[in-house]
Amino acid sequence: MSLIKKSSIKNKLLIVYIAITTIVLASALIISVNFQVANSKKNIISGLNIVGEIVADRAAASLAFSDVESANSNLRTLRSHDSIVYACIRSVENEVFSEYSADVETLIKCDDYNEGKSISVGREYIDVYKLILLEGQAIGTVQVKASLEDLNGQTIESIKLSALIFIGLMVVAAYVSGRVLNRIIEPITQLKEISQKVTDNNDYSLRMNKTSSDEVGVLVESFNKMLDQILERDRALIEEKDKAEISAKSAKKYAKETENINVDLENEIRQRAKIEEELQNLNETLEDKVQARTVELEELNEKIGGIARSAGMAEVASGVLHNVGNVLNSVNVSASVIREQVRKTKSENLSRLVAMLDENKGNIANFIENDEKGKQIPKFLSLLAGQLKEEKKNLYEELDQLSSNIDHIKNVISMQQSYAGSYGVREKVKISGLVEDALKINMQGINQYEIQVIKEYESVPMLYVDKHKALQIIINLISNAKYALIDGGKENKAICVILKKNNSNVSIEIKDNGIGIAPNDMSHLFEYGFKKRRGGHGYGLHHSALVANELGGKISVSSDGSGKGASFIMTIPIDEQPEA
Amino acid sequence: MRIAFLTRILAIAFALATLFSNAVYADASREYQLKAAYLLNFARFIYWPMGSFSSAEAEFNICVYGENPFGENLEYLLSKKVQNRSITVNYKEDINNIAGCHILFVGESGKEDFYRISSTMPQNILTVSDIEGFGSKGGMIEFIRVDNKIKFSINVTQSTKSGIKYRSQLLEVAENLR
Repeated sequence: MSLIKKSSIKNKLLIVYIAITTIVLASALIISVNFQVANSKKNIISGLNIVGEIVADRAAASLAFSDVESANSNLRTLRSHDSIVYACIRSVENEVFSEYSADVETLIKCDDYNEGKSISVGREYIDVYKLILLEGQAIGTVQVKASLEDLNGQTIESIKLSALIFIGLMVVAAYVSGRVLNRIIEPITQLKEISQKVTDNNDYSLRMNKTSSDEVGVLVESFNKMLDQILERDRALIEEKDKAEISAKSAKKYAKETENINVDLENEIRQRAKIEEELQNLNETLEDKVQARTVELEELNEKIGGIARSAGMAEVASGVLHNVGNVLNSVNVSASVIREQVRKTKSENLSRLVAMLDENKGNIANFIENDEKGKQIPKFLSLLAGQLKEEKKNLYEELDQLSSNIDHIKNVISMQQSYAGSYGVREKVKISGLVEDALKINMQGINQYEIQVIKEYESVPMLYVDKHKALQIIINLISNAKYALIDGGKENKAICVILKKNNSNVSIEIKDNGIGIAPNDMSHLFEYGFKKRRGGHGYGLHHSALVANELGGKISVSSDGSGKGASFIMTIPIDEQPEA
Repeated sequence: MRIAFLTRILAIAFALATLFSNAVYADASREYQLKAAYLLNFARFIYWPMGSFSSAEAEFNICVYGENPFGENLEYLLSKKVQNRSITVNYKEDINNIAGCHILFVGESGKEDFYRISSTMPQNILTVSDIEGFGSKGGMIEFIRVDNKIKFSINVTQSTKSGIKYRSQLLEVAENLR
């Protein structure tokens, strides 16, 4: 295989040519010889058939008339056929009637009578069997045997001749192919040589002559064109190279410059990175600061919430303090009275009496009996005892008053304590109880200013609320009503507390006939820091509204104007009460 | 010595062969059995003219005139067929009444009558006999003996006159032709 790869195109083609020619010629000759042999056999068979027919026809009469001689002479006529070596006639009774043998020495026997047998082809002989018919009835058979010796000889001769023809034709074919191939290959060989020269010497000016217009011609043309193109490209390349050299020089220059710029840029980048880093640090601290500030704000927020809550609590406390304050006033009065009485006590007279007695230590009885002053002593002591008794009675009265007032303070403080600590806890509350407590806390003022309290309580369900918050609001509202009444300065001051059950809520209305609210102030009423009363802190209503909101309810207000009283209604929803 | 021995062997063989054939043909019955078969074979090697048979089914008539030398051997023919036709055997008393016969065998006693009418015989009748000189006196096929074998000679001229045409095979087998 590698041998074929290494050999030239011409040799390859020659090998292919010869191989194909060999195959074709050999096949043709083999087929021809075979065909010849088959044909010869066919001819022999057909000849034998004819001969057999004739012999059989002629033998009919011989058999019919038992004429052996005529049968013999009939068979003897076969002598003219060289290939026929033997013939015989056998009667229907299977007796050999007549025999013919071309060569007496050949020991051939007549085959047995067999009506069905007609031909038998062997390697050396062909036998043809013919029935001898008389009026359609078989009366015997004729066997004619032909030797294939001649045919075989002829076949061998044919093969020999074929081989000779084959060799002759192969020689001619090889010679002619060689010549033709040379003609075909020559331009390719030339092309190869020229292309080798071109590559070896880099000489692109070489050109080939076009000798034909077939594929090779086209190849030559293309080759020449290609060389033209290469030359053209070379020229262009040289030009480009010159240009490139120039460009390269300037490029170098630019590169240098660029390098400098790059260095600058790098520096700048470094600086920027630094700044960025700083910025990031700043950012981080800023974040920290923001966080810290947020915490502060949150704390502040909480504080504000606390303040508001404390404000509410202050409201309560102020209520409490007010009450306590009032009572303390009484306590103070009682204390003053007691002091005054104690100051006015006649104990100094007693001291003078004691001193007088001390002077008359040795004769007290004489002194009392005889001295003017001493005589007065028992009368004085009796008077003093009456005075002291009176004093004691007054002091007892004052102390009772004081004790009752202190009890009152204790009660107020203990009520305040009952709300303390429950802040933020929701529980079931009887609203009327809350209202009562609020009234109690404000009771001192109410009594002091002779305010009439009118209660209109409907039966309302227990509400689930933060008791403390609700109380804060009610106290705030009652306290506001109280101040409104005080500021109003009317004679028949009255607060009306109305508890009402509506569809989904309970309303607590605190109505007064006090100073009323000017329409201008109506809209600012719940604003933070809005105050109309001197001494008010300005976030009582604001906080109450917020807390009412927290409880799920709200506070609404109505007033017919300045001096016409006002009504505050707090509503607390019923339906939001969870199962206790 | 050897040649003498061979000669003697050959002589014995020849003698035996002769004896055998004599033995076969010496028997008169066997002879006429053969001749009867030959009659049939003659019929088979002849092109019978179109007018020989009255119809497609018409029988093939073998007639015997004069003394019948076949004995019962002709009866054997009755079971055979010629050209697919059944065979009848007629013994003729009157030589003038032979129309319809296809083969006429003439016995020894009938020869004078036959010779008399032979020239005016009806057409298409093959005449056969074993009377010596039959073939030359107006007959067509004459049985003869050659080397103790039964052969026959054919008078083709006479036959042609009578409209009888033989197949070549028969002529080849014939001992001689006239």
